Amino acid sequence: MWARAVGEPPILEFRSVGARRGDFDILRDITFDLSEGRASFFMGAAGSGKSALLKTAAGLRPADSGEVLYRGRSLAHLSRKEEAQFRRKSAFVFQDGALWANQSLFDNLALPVRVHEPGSSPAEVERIVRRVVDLVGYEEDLKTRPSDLSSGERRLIALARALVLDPELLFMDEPFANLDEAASERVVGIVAALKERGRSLVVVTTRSDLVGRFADFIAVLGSGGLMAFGSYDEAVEWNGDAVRALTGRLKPRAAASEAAWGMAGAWADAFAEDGAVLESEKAGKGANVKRDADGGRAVLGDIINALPEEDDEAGRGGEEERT
Amino acid sequence: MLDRLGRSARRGAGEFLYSLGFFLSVVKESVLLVRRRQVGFRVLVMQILFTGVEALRISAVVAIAIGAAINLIGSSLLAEFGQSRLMYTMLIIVITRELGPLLTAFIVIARSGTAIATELGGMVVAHEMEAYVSVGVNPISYLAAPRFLGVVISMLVLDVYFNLFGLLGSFAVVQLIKPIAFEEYFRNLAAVLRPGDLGMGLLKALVFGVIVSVVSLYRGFSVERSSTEVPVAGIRAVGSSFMLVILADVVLTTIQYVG
Amino acid sequence: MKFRIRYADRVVGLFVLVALLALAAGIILLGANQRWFSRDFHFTTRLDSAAGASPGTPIYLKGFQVGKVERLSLNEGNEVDADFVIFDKYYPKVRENSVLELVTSPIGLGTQLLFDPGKSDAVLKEGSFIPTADSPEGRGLIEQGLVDIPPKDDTITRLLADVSPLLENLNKTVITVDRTLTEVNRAVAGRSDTPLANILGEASKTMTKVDGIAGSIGVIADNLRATTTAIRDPTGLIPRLLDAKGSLKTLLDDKGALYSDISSSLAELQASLKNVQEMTTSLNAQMPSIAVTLDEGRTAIKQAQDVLEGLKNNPLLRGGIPKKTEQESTYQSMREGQF
Repeated sequence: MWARAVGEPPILEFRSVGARRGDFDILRDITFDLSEGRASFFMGAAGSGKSALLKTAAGLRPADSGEVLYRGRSLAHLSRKEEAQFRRKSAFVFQDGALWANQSLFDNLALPVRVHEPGSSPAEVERIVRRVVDLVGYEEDLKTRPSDLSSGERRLIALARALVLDPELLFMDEPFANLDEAASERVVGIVAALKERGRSLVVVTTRSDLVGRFADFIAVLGSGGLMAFGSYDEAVEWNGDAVRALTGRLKPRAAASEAAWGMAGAWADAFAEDGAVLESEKAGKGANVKRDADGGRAVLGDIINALPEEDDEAGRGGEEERT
Repeated sequence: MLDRLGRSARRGAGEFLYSLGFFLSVVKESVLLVRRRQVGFRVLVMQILFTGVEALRISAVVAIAIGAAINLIGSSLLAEFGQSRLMYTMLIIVITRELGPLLTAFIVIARSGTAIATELGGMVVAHEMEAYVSVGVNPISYLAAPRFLGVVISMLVLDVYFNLFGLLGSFAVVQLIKPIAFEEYFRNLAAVLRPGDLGMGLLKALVFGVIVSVVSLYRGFSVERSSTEVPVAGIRAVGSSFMLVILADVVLTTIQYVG
Repeated sequence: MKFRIRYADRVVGLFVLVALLALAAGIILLGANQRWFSRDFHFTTRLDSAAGASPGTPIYLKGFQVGKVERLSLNEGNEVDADFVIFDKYYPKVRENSVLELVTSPIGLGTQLLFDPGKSDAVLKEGSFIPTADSPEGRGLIEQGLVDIPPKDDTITRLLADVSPLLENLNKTVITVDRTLTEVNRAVAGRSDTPLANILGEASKTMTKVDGIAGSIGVIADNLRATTTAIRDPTGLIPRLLDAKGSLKTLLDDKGALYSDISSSLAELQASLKNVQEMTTSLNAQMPSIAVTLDEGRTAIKQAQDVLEGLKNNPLLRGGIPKKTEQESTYQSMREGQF
């Protein structure tokens, strides 16, 4: 049994998971747990099977051996209802967006709502979709088809689709790749906000700077197996060479200077005021944070504003879990 | 050699069981779709629009051409043998019972079979299928069921139109060449039409519709990851559909005449 | 395309609706044809024999199918109980005193059930017993004139009824002619003790009889013409009796070939007989030729007999009578011969 954050309930448990492509084993005997409310990053060279592991974890690809447990229940043996529950509470951001080409952007975003909240009125669906579109900062017409978008825009919409039901568990496959600077900032901001809100994140990325910025746990994959797992320190202790080979200039978080973090650092600070913003929201003082001269903060304010009814949703979700 | 035979037999049996399971789940989800009338309903309407409405023109042309040909044969060749009344029997046999459903199936295979297989194959390659699963939408119920129902309904409806065009449209065409009184034509036609003819025609349309849709869906879903598999899926959908439709036709016709 | 997608629901709705309407119309048409929606009125009768009748055998009134046999069963008294139905359209014709007539065609053309309505104003209740015409009850009704029996439209039967005695007559004539011929032969050979004049007188008498027959043949020819007309009539009973599918109609409609066949044969016969007659009158002058002429006459009569025999053997179904080469006038050949 590999490392596990003591005292934190696991949201996902990998039990001897193996993945095969044809007759070739891409993953063998992967065993570790992911804690709830933490950001876990899968790293590895191309072809190391990190995407396969992510899809297995998200139940999009059956484990060829072993099993993945979601809150103690094997994904392979979920009942119809449990599966619906799992899909309702988890979301997957695909590397290429994977928007449904034959549907308008609006329908792409609205489908999860229509599926999981079948009672919602068209106006309600529209409101939820608008919120999430504002969140990712997409401003064009939602009646167009995905094929009319640039690849960056598609990825933003895909992220919006994943967030539309405010999942507690978010799988992201290379969410930061191939984005222009502004979009990349948006995505980074959103990831930060989600992490701050206690969402469980499972991310595959090659952006070692962001791993250092957000990762609570890292899993290093290579040679068809798990090469290291744990917090950065634990992972280095486990297999320093492998971790350093991938993370390169990555340094332990505590040692990072404000300058080294750059923009991301500003985000981190902004989170400190997160609660205050919400308070101001609740106090009816308006959601507009643009009064702040700091551009980063203004963007963050937008993000937080746009996040779908955070607290209420989370509260309801918590209750449902307990029942 | 023996090993290989055994292995391929096992794989064949496995694939057969898999396709059977696929077929059953498509049927099950279709029944559920009808009951729920939820999101897939729109897809169903679009499928009927594409498979049925848009195939109407070519179906009408084929039907009128065949009907007119039989009419002309009836009024020239058969009249030489003093058997011009056989024309009505021929019309019913060819249009209602045999060729109508078969040609409609061919039209649907050529238009919608390929379209369904390549569309679904493309969706698999673009990870759209996984995206559906990830938001909790069962691709079978959301993608397969409405297409299945759409193709089956379109087949049945197109078969009715084929009859309409083949029996009445061709009459109108033949009027230009060799006028027959409508009353005479209609009465004679009604006299030879048996409930079994109509029933068999519709049964065939139903069976062919099921075959074409399930085969095309199956081929589309069987694409795994490469975009080069997509056209292959389209070709296979057409090939298998043709084969199975003809086979089913032989079986049904045999049952009708022997049983 | 854009238009279609915008109105997809409406277009598809219309598409399906029209098909459903067409299908419904087809089914209704089919149903009307198969009498799904018509009420049938049930009646019973008792037949001597079920030979020629079976469930589904149509019942006709003046050539119209008014009903059909539903069920036949042999009862304890070895009679056949038959249930039959009359279609609702014709139910008002089922009056009291109606009878059912089982007519078997004498020339093997099958059996026909005819419905003869009673001459009463009261309509019979469903389930009533309707006697057959040959039952004592039915005969009684007919004798009392309570039944409206339409003339039999089976013209062939009628015609053949006329032909039968005629054939018998002809046969007798042929025998007489034959005997006369023998006598003549014997006389010519000088072996007869009967005066030749007597024989000739007898022959003359025979020929007068033949003349009468020739007249009858004219009548038959007229009858035949009527028959042929009846046959040509597609709605008439005969074509349907012969072949319900009506393909015979076209066969017979071949510009009246069959009729002209029969007609010309009869005309030939008439001519031959006339020849015989003429021969006989000029017998005194041309004594030696009598034997030959009578022989010719006999051949001609035999041919005529063939024709009639052929007719009796139901030529309608057997492709008619083979065409015969036109026979030269015997009189002519006689004159050009050595006499």
